[in-house]
Order: sequence, then structure tokens, then C-alpha cells
Amino acid sequence: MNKYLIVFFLFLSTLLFSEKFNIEEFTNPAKYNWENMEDRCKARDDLDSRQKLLQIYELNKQQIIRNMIKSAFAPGWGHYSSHDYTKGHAFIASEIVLFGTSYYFYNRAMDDYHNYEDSHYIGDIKQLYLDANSNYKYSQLFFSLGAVVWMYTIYDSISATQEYNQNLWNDLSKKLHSQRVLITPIGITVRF
Amino acid sequence: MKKIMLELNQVLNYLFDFQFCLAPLWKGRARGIYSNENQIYQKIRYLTLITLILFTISCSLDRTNPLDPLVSGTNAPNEVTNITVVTTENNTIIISWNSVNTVDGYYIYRSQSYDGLYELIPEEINASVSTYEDTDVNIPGNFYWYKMSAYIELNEGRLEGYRSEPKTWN
Repeated sequence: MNKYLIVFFLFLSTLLFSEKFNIEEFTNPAKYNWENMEDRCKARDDLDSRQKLLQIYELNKQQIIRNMIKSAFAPGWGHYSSHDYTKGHAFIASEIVLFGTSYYFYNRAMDDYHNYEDSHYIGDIKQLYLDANSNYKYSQLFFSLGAVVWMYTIYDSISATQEYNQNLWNDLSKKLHSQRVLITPIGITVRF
Repeated sequence: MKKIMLELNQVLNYLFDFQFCLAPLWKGRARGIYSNENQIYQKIRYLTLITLILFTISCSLDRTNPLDPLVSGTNAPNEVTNITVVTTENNTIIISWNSVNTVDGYYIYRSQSYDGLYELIPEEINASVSTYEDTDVNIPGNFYWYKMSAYIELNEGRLEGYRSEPKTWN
């Protein structure tokens, strides 16, 4: 019982400290620096234009997760989508070089290894195994470097996408403020 | 307790974060993404990257050749020593050598130049002999070089020992 009383009194005390809702103050346009109706209309226009801008931005922006998945499938694809062609070229080229080199050493390693398996001469057995193993290690090294670069490509596609989206927003807002006539998905706006 | 849980949470976040071992190498540090974090996490990332690369290159191929001494546990035959090559008047070359213990036979290779291609003489030379007469030669105007090796018979095949240095007559 005491517990309920304490809760009740706590509730009452909150009412004591609460302020009365002042509708006059809430609706006072002066708090937004609106001196007259014209200011209010300008602010509304500005809000409208920013909303339209946001809509265009939402339509054109790149999804980070989508670009990450693209980069996971093919290194550099996420960067191409984000119009970061230099990095896209660099990543795809480095992946081709690294995995190509890895494949080259792997082939050499397997050739030496098959010869080692068929060899009867002790000199060949020892030398071919050493050659096969060292080529195999080079192959593994280049493969792991390729994997690291691939992982980095996925990581870097995040920043590339963010940069693309930032540039898109900057371009859109620059265009909006420089153009007198705007064609947007929801209509045409003319500035005087 | 709360502090420990927060620390644990942070460590787990890094462990499951794919940027974990990559960020400090390029942009992470430069952009100041990790400027407030503990130095330990940066070291963990470097160590993980190095460990990943070392782990992959530490993988070796298996020794699968049954004649490989490290697989069969049998030592290869010793090298054939004291090889002498003499010519006779009837267009024959006689090769003699010191017998090698615990071998099952010998191989003799012949070439017309010191560093040329040595071809195996296709005759079985068993362990009991220590000379060989090569009649398939044409001595006037030609030089012949010989290499020798010993072999042992294993269940998986013949294991040939090291070949000797090339020898010819004086």
C-alpha cells in the first residue's frame, strides 16, 4: 500500500514542477526570426527546396552495403559504381597482378611437384622438392597479399561511396542555388 | 564489471570487423578514425595481418614420393668412387670403379662432351661387377665422358644415388 502512495505522490510532485503549455509562445514566429509573412514564406520555400533536394539525393545516392557486396564479388566494382575510376583501375589491376603471379608460381610449383613424385634420382628428389616448395610458398604469399588487397578494396568501397554521396550532395545543392528554373521529380520551380 | 564488459565488447567488435587488420596500413590512421583508440588494438591489427601472411606461407607441400629418403627412411646409395676410363685398340672403352656396399646395381651415363646430355647405357650392371666394356663407341676422332651412380631396389622402385663427376681417358 505504501508503495502505491509513494508512486502517487511522486506523480503529483511532477505536476507541481511542470510548466503550463504556452500556446502563444509556441506559435510565436519571432522565435524563428520571422518578422513578417514574407519571411515565413521564404523559410517555407527554403524548406520545400531542401526537401526536394533530399528526394533527388535519395534517388541518386549509392548504397554503401551494395557497393561493398560489389567489391566482394569483383574488386574495384564498388569503386567504379562510386565513379572512383582511378582506384577501381588500381584495385582490379593489382588483383590481376597478384593473383596472376600467384597462379604462375602455383603452376611452376605443381610442375616441379609432379616431377618430384615421378623422380627416382636422389638429386632430383631433393632439388625438385625444394623448388616446388619454394614456388608454392611464393604462390601462397602472392595469394595472401591478393586476399588482403581484396579485403582492403571492400573496406575502401565504404569511404569511396561516402565520398561519392558527399560530392553528389554538394553538386545538387550548388545546382539548386545557381539555377533559376529547376525540374524536379515532383514539379518545376522558377526563382525570380 | 561494466568496464570489463565494455572492453570485451570493443575487442569483440574489432575481432568481427573486417577492417580489423587493414585500417592502420592506409587510411584509418591518416583520417584519424582510430585516433582515440588504445595502442594495443593497433598492435593487434598489425600482428593479425602479419600472422595471416606468415600462416599462409608456412604451409608446405607434402613429401609423397615413396622413394624420398625422408618418406621411406632408407638412405640413398653412396656415390661411386675411383672411376677410371681406358681405351683399347679394338674400339672399346673399359670403365672400372670401386664397388659400393649394399647396392643392387649401377648406372652408367655416356656423353660426347663434358657438359652435354648424358644418356643412360641401357644395360643392367649388377652389384657384383666393377668393370664395364663399352663397345658402342667410335673412338678415332671422338671423345666420350662417363658418369656413374649406384642404385638400390625398394618395393616402390629403384632409388638412384648421386651421380659421379664426368670422367674420360687421359
